[in-house]
Amino acid sequence: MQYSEEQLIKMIVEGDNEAFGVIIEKYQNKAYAIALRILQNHDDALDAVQDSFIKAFRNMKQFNFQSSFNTWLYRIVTNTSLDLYRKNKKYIYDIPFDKPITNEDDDDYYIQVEDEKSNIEAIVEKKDTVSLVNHAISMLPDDFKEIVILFDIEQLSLNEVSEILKIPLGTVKSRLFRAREKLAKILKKEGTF
Amino acid sequence: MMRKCAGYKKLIHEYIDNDLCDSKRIEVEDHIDSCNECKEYFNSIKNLVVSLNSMKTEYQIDIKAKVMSDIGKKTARIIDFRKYYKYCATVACLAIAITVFFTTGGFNRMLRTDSVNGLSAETALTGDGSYASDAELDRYYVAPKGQEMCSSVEESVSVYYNSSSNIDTVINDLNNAIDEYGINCISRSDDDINVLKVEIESIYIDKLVDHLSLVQDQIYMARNNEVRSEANVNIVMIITCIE
Repeated sequence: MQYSEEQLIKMIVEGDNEAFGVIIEKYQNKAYAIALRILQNHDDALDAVQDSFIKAFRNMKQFNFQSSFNTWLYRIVTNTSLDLYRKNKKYIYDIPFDKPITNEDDDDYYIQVEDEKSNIEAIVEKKDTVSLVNHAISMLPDDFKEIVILFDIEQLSLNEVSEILKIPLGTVKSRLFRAREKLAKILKKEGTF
Repeated sequence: MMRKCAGYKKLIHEYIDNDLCDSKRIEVEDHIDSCNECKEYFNSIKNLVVSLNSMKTEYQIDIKAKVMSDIGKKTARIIDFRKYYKYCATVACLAIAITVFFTTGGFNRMLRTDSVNGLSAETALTGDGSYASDAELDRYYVAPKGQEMCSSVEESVSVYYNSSSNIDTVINDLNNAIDEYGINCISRSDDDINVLKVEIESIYIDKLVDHLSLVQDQIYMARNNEVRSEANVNIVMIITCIE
């Protein structure tokens, strides 16, 4: 039987752990993408996502259906990842952003979706640009970084970003504007744009 | 009235995000056509956004088994504890009583609390916001209303809750989190019934803030002396950290 998200959440609150498995399956990939953008490291992103799901499970009673579940969850993921990022200073774009992860030892755990674009030159060029953009993102303050990741890269809507970051829509727009300006300035210095 | 170029910058971003009404779209297009500087700005931001958009990657991970196993372990631990609850509770009560009595800080607090309104250190803040003695909840100190808390504040965080929030729920949540987040003291302001003061050990501040950020009816948090106000604030929780 297919349960709605609301039903699943109520089942989890009532002690049905298995219902949480359905939630994990639904959101784990997107949660991982957000964590990876922030942490730039596969292992830490996995840790952050696992930790986030455990936090969500333990705090499920706090969820009162005022916002959508996905934005609540992504908020936990964003905060958990930023916390980990701050704690660990080693994350400085050592792994390229575009298709960064090779995980030969752990193929069952992580499968990367292939990029269908072919042209080698285009891929190299894209990788160079992406590396530079990635570097520039890493230089942004956290509040700029999270907004660029959620809106411009993960392409969530302005309303979703507003819910995730708990800031008004107007603030989302003005912060996005300032974040892009700063990003453009950094990239201009490096001759990218 | 014609805007100056600076006025078009933010609109250019909204144009790129497809977040403008038709009349403003046309206005921006006309301006870009007639202004080289803004055209260049538009192109650079457009290129940036296209690059950022292209970085989106679909991943497939499978963490279900791992998370479910972690959750299972934690649940099992709780069940085990409950099985021996009576014994554990007795031992815990004894240990706590000894610790509270012989720890200088705790002892001082007892003295201090005793001197105000006749409330003891065993006083617990119950769900309805009133003070009550509860032998099972004597692990922590709750200051009577209006009592000043410890000095040497390192940092403070103000948490603002919206109009749908309920102070009893907030207090209950804190009560449940006392051990985990190093909460020393919870008190309610005399002047304003919806102001809560919480004192914690500084090393726990990030953890508590993280925990509180999961609560949906919280509007925002302000660090240190930042003062913010918003019309629909219902409860303000002021968290102070001590060494």
